[in-house]
Amino acid sequence: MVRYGLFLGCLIPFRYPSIELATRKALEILGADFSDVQGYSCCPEPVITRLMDRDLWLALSARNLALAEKQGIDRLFVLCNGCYETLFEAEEALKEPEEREKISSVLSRFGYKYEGKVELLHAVEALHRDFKAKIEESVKAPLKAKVAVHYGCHLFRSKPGEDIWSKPNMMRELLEALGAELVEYKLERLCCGFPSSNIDMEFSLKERLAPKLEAISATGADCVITTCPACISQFETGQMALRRYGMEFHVPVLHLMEVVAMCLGVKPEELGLEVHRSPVLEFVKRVYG
Amino acid sequence: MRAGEIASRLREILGPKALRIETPTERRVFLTARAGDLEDVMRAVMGLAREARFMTISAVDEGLDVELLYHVDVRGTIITVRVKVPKEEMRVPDISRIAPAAEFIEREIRDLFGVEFAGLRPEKLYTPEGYEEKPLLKPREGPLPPQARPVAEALMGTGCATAISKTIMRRREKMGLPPTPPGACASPEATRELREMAEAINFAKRVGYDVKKGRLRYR
Repeated sequence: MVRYGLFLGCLIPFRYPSIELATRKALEILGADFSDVQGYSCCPEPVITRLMDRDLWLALSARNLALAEKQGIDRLFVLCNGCYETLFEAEEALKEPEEREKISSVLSRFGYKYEGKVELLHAVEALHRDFKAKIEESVKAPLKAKVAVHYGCHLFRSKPGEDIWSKPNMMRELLEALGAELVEYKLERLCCGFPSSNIDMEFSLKERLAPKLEAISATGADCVITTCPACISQFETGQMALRRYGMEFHVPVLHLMEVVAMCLGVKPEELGLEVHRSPVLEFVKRVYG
Repeated sequence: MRAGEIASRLREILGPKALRIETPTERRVFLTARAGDLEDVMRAVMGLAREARFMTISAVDEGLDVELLYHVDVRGTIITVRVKVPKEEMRVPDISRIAPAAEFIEREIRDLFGVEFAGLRPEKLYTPEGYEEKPLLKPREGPLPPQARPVAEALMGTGCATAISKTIMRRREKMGLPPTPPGACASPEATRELREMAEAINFAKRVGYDVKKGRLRYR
């Protein structure tokens, strides 16, 4: 049986434990053999850390991959778009002999060896490839809602020759399998503004988030579903911050794993959804009763 | 005296006090030392030959440190002794007892950069009494932009780019999860390993992170 390693990252367990709990419950229901990657560090964060110091970024991400190998994990189940971006890019970088030799010499001092044996999968890929049929037959509470999908920029990260829409399409198919009615709002690929909020908060809110929320609201969508905790943070805190500029939005924002768990029969009250700062509780009450 | 001969003699006299000796040309020697060893190093350099001539000291503000470069001419070969003075300390020994001509430039550097030379006469050289500004001293700044500083500190402190709050820890427990995830933040050994790994790739030095104090040297 394939052994999955849960790569939680920082934002999910530290800000949105409901996503972590939902994932554990969903994978149990789906009968997956999974364990945590013990002792993992921040992936590390793909934008600031990589620009801050590439060597540190690569060494720590290689350590995370080597840890998973050491713990006998076959496939990494990555819940966060940012973590996926980092680990994906690190794997690509480590294909270069010079980079690999440099980082291997650091890892070996700490008893690690990176061999590239673990298969890196975004949660969307893992669910679609290995569990879609099981999900389809196990849905107990369909997602009867109009859903606006926000893929998150890093979900488009793809291998040479791979269709950049492969993972976004998998996400759409998974949501349809859960019973969702997907709405088109034409700004699906626009960044939510989270990275630029570090530099210019007003720009990130007015030029990135607000146009998305306006387009989503115009479709009559009941919620936004994404796979990125940083995007959830931007959508939720951003809606509150936009009130400063006279813009009111009340769009619930959830992670894909939360709706998967609820559709598989996990009661919303078991998930600790109060951590959300958008009207998620009202939404789930309406959909799941 | 040629650079190679000088380098060999200084290595022999100073042993580990000479952190690094470079001889890029036949007439040029660079010797890196700790500020605390400066007197011994300068005594060795000035003692290489009767004609050893102290030339000057250059001060370079590097942001987190001030580098002092002591230039000495030994029979046509220029020896430069480099020491870094952290801006948190800004204190080195006065070498005017070894090279009297250094007093003038030490007073100038003290007036303009604020480096204290322990034992140097207190009178100012350039700036008026009561004027405490240091016109050539830049603010203490490292290479990381403000947005990256909390990330660097959090990564070095806990192995994670963000911090977990007590409220979330309590909430996690209430949800049946462990208070912290099974990452480095929950394991002091793993966190220590990450710091050692960062040291192994010279991260702390490159970005100005004080490993002992567990924070960046600048805000």
